[in-house]
Amino acid sequence: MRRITLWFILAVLVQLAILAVLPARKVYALMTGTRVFLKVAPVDPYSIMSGHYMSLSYDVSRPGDGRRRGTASPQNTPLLQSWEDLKDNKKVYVILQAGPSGLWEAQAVHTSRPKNLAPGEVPIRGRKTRRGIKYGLETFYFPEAVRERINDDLRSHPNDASVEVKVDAFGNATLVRLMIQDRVYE
Amino acid sequence: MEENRKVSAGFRKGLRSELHAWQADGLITPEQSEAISCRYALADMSKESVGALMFAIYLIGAALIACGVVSLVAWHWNEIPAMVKVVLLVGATLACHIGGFWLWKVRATRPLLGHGLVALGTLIFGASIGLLAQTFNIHSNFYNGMAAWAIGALVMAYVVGSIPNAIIAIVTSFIYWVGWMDDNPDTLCLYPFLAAAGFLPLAFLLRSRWVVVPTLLAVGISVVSLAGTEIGLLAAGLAAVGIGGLYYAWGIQSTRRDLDYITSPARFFGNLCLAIIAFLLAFREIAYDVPRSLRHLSDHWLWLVPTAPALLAAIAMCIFAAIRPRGRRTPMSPAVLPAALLLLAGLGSTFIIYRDLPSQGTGHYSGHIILIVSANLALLALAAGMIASGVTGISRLDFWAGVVLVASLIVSRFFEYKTGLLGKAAAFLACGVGLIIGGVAFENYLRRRRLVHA
Repeated sequence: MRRITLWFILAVLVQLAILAVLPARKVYALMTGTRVFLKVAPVDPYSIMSGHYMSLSYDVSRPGDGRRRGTASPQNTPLLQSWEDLKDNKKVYVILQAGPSGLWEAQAVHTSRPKNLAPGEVPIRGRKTRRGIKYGLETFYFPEAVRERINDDLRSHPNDASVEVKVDAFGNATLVRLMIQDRVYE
Repeated sequence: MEENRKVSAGFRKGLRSELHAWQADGLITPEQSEAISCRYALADMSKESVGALMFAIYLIGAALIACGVVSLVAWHWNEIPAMVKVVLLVGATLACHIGGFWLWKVRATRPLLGHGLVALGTLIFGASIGLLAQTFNIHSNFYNGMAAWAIGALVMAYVVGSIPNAIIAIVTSFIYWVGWMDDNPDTLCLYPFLAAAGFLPLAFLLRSRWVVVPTLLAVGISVVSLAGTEIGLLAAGLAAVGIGGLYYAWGIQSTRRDLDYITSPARFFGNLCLAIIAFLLAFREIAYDVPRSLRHLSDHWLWLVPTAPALLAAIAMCIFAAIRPRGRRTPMSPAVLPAALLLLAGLGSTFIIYRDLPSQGTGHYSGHIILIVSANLALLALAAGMIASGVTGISRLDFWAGVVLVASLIVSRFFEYKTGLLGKAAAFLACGVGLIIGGVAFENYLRRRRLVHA
């Protein structure tokens, strides 16, 4: 085989490797992750490159906001009230636990992967930004055909949107489906 | 001897038409005409132009198909399962690459079509990145996808020697940098160095102006922008003088015609870079803002990362060009070095005068006048140099570029400074009449030179 053919095969393999590496974490989380449900607050921009998508933010994107009046003691909730003081782009692990409504809530924020978690607790990895903590779950793509229906559903039930997420053992998360009241979008 | 690769297509075209006339006039024998024709492969010109046309058609077709694929991905056809979509696009990428390579390099029966297919494969590879983001709801900044696309295209460009792949790599990497810089304004960025290291060897390998021009633009724009992000125009000005000087010195360090694809654009962009920064700094409002950027100078150092290497490389390249024997370097325009030094002097004096500005509060200052004067003089010197090289080198383009520069300098100053209408009218009339007289004189000069040579 000529040398250029070998180099060409290598170049094609590089392109395939790029395509394989891009979704690798997401696929692993989908295959092995723990199922978690999060409450969302959506907006709806438009992307030429990837069709229609929503930019999502979650209650857990700003952990502690809903718990400032709660009873949790600072010892059990490290950084829950002070994560905003961390440097931007800092890696954090937010401990999630299922709430009474079935939606999961942030219990604590750590700057390293926590060990000895209580049963039912799931650590999800994120990065602190100026606009809250980002988990890589902030984009949901949907088909053009359902755009209007999603818009209508969101307008009708602005407080009833949630997502199903899979979180793997390393804290990587992937978005599985969006639910608005009783309607499911995948 | 591949002399046809060392001269421009325009030269060969002109030579082909002249050869018939020379032979008809008895200036050269049919044998000499044949020898010249062979030397420059003039017989192949028709074939080459048809080949270029066909390649352009295939490339435009590939670009249109890629647009269709991107739209198809954006449409998010929901009846097809996600994995089937991925397999379809990855399969299309592979089919284009393998089919193209087969036709281009293995069988070599349809090299132009094959090359077009390989370019299409890389375009579909980019679309596949978008599809993967969509399928797996990958939340990432769009520019990260551009970086992945650039890497894939760059590898392919090196391996098969493909200009379209190289251009895709340069453009996508530049979009990546723009997006990244917007999100990370105060972060160390090595893009200009990586772009130069990745694309310049490719430009040499492919011997293509199509690769050189976007590379010079990507490196130059990123260096100047990165320098200016932190402390504004002072650093941007220094970096622009560095890049302009570097490009220009690079452009004159050789007279080899086979390097013209790189030296000619380098000279052009070197001049352009110096002219733009001189034109901007010549404005009173802009020059007045330069010292303001120095208020927090002690807090910043990132601006030095692109600025210092640009200036040092410019100095090194100038020395290299200066020590080359006269016959082996293109004569330097008499105005470029004075213009660069004037700009450096203006910016340097501003730096020295105002480096302690924070302690002086926000009061009025007037030291920027040195910068305004030096920038205006630099612009005038560049324009005079272009006009001079237009006259001595019999180049209409240089001459008229210099004239346009002078005219823009005069018009800008007259609109900028409040003067009486009578003064403005007199100045415009004088400039207009002077321009026409200068143009006529230059055309007469050209005619006389032609008559003398004939």
